[in-house]
Amino acid sequence: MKFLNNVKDHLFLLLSVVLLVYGCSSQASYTPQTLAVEIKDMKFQPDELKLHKGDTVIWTNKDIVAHDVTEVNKAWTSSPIAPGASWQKVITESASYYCSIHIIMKGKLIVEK
Amino acid sequence: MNSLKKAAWVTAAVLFLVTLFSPAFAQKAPKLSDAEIASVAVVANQGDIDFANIALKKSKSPQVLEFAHTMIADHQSVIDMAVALVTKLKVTPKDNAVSKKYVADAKATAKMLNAKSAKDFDKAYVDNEVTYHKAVIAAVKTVLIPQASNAELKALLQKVVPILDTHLEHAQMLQKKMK
Repeated sequence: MKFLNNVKDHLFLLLSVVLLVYGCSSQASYTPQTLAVEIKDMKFQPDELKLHKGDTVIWTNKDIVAHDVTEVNKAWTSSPIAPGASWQKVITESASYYCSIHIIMKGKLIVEK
Repeated sequence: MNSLKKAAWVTAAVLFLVTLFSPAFAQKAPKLSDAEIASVAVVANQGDIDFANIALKKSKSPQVLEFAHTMIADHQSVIDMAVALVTKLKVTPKDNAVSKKYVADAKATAKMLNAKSAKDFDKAYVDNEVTYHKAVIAAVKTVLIPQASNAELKALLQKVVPILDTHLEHAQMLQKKMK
């Protein structure tokens, strides 16, 4: 009986350790990604991007005119991005942005939990 | 010339330009060589730069000034790319009836804009931008792109279309706010 109790205790302990390790590894498993937005044909492509907090977005200008990437409330801006050039930002919260040079060009970043 | 006659003359000039570059006219449009197409492309872009420079002198509206700065930057970029391409291709832009008419009409429009009072300038400028971009878009799509022989010239003209479409949409947005 004592033997069985010992086995149960050991199994319980083992199970607890396994669950603890699994739980910790799940939370630590997400590695921030780098995602791309092309600025092409006067559009942000994709114009809506879902991502995780801490991801980096790189905007690359594939057009023949300069663009910029500006948060709608001017919280941040890339300043002009020349044709062929890129600009990147680590994203910590959802944001709507636009090109302040071509104000009809709009984009959105949606941070998912 | 009184203001009524002046307005009528400029209206006729703009209407001629729109007709010249209308899809219907495209069927009867003269055949343009790549050298002539390059000339039309340069003068078309330069015309809008000239209008924008007038706006920078005469407008007090932040939105109009912002739009004018964009026109100058974008159209100059297109001219620079066109010049770089023709230099690479060893093609010399060639004046032709279309480009000459274009220059003449742009000069008339510039005169009209310069004559506008401060009160009337912004609307006149934006209205012209809408008309002008519609005409140029039609020209590029129905005449210049189909008639371009060189693949790189054709590709450059195709890249210009979304830029012009965006300019038109922006101008129409400003025009709507002025109504």
